[in-house]
Amino acid sequence: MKKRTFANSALVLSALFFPWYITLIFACVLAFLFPFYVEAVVLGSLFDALYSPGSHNGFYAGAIVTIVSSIIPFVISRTPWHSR
Amino acid sequence: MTYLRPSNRIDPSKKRARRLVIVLVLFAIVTSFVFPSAIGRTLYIVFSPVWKVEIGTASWFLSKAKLVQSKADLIAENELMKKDFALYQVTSLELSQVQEENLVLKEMLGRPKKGSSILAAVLRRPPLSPYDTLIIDVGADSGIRVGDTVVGQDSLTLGTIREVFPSSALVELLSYPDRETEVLVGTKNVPAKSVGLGGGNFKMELPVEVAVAVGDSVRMPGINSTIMGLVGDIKIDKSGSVASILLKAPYNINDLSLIEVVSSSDEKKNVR
Repeated sequence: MKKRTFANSALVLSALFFPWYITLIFACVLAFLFPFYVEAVVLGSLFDALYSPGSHNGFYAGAIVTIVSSIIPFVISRTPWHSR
Repeated sequence: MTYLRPSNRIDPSKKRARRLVIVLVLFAIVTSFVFPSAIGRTLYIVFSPVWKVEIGTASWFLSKAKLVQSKADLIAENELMKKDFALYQVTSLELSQVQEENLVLKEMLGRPKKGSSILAAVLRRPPLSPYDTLIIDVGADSGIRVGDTVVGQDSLTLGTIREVFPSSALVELLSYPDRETEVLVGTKNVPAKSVGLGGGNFKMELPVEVAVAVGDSVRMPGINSTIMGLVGDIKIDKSGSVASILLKAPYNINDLSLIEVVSSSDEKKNVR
């Protein structure tokens, strides 16, 4: 749990000080390392709360972070070389 | 050989931690839906000072880094800048004369320039922000209001203020995806509607008969008209009747560091 808390703190700092795509890659890595990584949803909400204007008519950072960080680890875990 | 069967029981501390994570996530989601502005407001109050310190520290390090540049490089750069300066000085004089003349004429005709402007530092910009938005270091305390116009260097219109916090504000750039803006294109000031594509790019559609060329300026309508973009590319559709025009901002949104907020009107506006 300590590792997870440390990783989450690093993820929040990444969202505040690094480009969004680096944070997204980082979230994907964490989703692969930790099971049931629902914190990615909070990261998406954080992006929206910080950077998106009130009306959404562009893409949704929250949705993208959640989808990418949950799909990629799922796909990787189903690859033959991973299950071997 | 006999092996011990692995236990199916989950460690109670892990179970508690997992439950805590789920509760926190649900809390974040519910709060963001029920009180969307509360989270943003709190985050801005907490992180604005951190960002201000970061910007200050970064600029200090950059200024110190320049001191260790080689002398030869500095001399070469200095020579180049002197040449550029001489060239721009003449152009600047001509431009300021024309601007002054323009202001005098507007005043004579009863249309003086209204509204005050405030200089602001950009705390966050793309690619830190996944949207075409900026976070600036002035807010309601400095008289910033929702709807104020944001202009960059050389009076380029960048966007408008969308959210105001006590000491910071959120700027939505004109190139924000799907944002529609009424503009005037080319030398004949053809009215059109530009649609934001993100990343400082826009598009618009016009009949092919309208004379628009690559490099033409795109201006905001109004008596104090300012440039918002340049025509970058023109593509004609298969029917040959509609021209898809791609516009680009004459600035790099990733390089914006200082901007100006111009109060658009004195009417009271909502402050989040």
